[in-house]
Amino acid sequence: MMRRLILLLLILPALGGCAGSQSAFMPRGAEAERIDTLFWVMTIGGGIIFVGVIAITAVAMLGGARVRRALSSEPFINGAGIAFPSVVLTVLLVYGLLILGAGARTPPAGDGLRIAVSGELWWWRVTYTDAEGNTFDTANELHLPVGEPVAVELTSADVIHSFWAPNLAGKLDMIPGRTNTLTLTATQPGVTRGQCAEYCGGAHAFMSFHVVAQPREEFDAWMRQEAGPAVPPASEAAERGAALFLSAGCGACHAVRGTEATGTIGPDLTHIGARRSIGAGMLPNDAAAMRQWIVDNQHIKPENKMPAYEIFTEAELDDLSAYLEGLK
Amino acid sequence: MAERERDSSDRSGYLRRLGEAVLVVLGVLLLGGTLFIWSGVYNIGASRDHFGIVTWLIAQLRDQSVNASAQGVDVPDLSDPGLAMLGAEHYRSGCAACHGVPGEPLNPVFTSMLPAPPDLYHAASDYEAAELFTIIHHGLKYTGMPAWPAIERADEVWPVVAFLLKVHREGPQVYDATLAEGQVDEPGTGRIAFENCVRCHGDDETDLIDDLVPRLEGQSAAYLARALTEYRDGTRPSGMMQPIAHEMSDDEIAELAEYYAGLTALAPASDLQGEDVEAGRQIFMNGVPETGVPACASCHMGANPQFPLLAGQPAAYLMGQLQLWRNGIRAETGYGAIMATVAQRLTPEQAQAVSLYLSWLPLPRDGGDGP
Repeated sequence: MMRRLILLLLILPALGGCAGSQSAFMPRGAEAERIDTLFWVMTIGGGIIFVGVIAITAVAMLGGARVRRALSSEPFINGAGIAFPSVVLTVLLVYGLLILGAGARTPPAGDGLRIAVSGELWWWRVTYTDAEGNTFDTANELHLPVGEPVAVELTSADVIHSFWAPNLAGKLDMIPGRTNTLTLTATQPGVTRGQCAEYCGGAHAFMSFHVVAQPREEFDAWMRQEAGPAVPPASEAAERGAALFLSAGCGACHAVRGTEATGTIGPDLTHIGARRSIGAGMLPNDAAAMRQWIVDNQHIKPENKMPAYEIFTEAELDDLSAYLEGLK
Repeated sequence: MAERERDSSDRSGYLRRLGEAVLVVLGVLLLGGTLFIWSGVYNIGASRDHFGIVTWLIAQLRDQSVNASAQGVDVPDLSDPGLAMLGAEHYRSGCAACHGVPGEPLNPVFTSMLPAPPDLYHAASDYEAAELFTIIHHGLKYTGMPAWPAIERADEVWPVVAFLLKVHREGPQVYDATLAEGQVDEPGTGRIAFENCVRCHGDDETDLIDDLVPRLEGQSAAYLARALTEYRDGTRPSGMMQPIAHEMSDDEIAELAEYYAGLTALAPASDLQGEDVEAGRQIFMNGVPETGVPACASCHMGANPQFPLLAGQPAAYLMGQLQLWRNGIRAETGYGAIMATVAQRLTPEQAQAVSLYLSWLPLPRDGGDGP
């Protein structure tokens, strides 16, 4: 029993790190690196002091009379009991405040890029605004240029959520009626994952997102593509799907820019086909998953705002998913 | 001391003897009852009435039970004259077969039932409205009186109650025993009550019997056919429409749907002004995005024939259906489940506003431009 417990304790940290794409121990952003450094300084420093205290306690209980007398002397108690913790805690506090930049102001984004993320039950509405004020919506995926600090404005449309991309920064609450600003600076390109970190209702655990850090040119290309209208359907099936999308009323909640679908209740689907997941990290993004989501979303993510659409024939589902998959 | 001991042993001996006697009596009763049932000596035939005492006991049981069930029932306003007329037409389809024409002798087939279906001319003097509701809604065991075919549709029972109250109040002549003859041999105008859609839904010459009934003229044929199929399958609950759809074949459904879809609806008479329905128009055209209500217009503008056209439908019908969805009653079908999600996000005020707007909206004519 004891051995099994020890084994479990040994495995636990390894489990925490096994998904490197969502781990504070694998920093890929300046803010997360600072948190990582702080964590290790605190953990190692605290560990050394802990071992020292245990050693002194053992000596005090088991050591010879001379050592014990020394430990109970007034200079030792003043030094190790009062002076040492005061100095160490003060230094650590100042260090912690400095490294986390407490009170520092968010640096303005260099090119006027603004990103706003709104937490909704249970997905992320992401709004990009460029320097000219052009704005577009996407969902459940945050793209960032590598090496540039970007201020992300966090809000909520309903209840308190918390935005947490552990590889990039610490978590920050999204509070209805308030805008919190979080600075993210991706230090290397790549895709990582984030998660709502404040319980927000039944499907809270199913509210994830991807962060895609890209070199500046790639990011600009993505911005241009994403800001534009939807590509026209490329096949006959996709054309039928596009017509069905409108006639079945999907556009009441979803926008596909460049078509009559202008709904704002659910995620913008203009470039859904280019995203890495559907249902806020629930399913891979392919035609099979699209079908599954349309028909069965209430089982995949119970009580989400989209009704289950059990009204389509198999052929219609093929057409719809072909259309959506093609919205790159 | 010794006397007290003798006292207590006397008492326990008495109790033991009493216990034994009770057991013997119970045993005899059980055995006798078993023998009575097994022998088949009791005449269960309808040709002979119960013993007087049995009849009296059953009547007590029935009336006490009906009275107790009716305690929690809130009687709605039943004064709308159309309500009693709608109830009369359901009486014609569903009740008249056994209960006959109020105030007139019953067909001997039914007088030979035990108990015989009572003449309902006087039903309202024997029972309060809430008690009549309970009897029609839940039926009566061992009498042949069925429960309402869609038990969740308590709302459909009230028109029948209203009719029974009216018959009692104004006399049996309020019930026209003759079935309106079909104008021509058109679908929906048959001579049998179940075939005669026009009695309640009207057509291009006759108006709706009541505001609780939807207008069918000019409706999409695909939607009408789907509605009838769902009634027939029992996935759209209605004690009025399920028995009617049960009688219909696929071909009859298709023919009827085409017939009504091809008619031009009468213009609804509405004294509302444009500004009265502005709030409802906003909801219909734009939804209420803050609370997740999508625009009704994105489905109900005729682009998809599976979604019904709503312009010109009576507000009471629309509100009633929205209320069903809000209560989760029409959510069994794929389409119903979608609408249930939306209806549950509407406040009662929003449901009323959008219903009033639609009732005011002129109908699209001959593929006209709609709202």
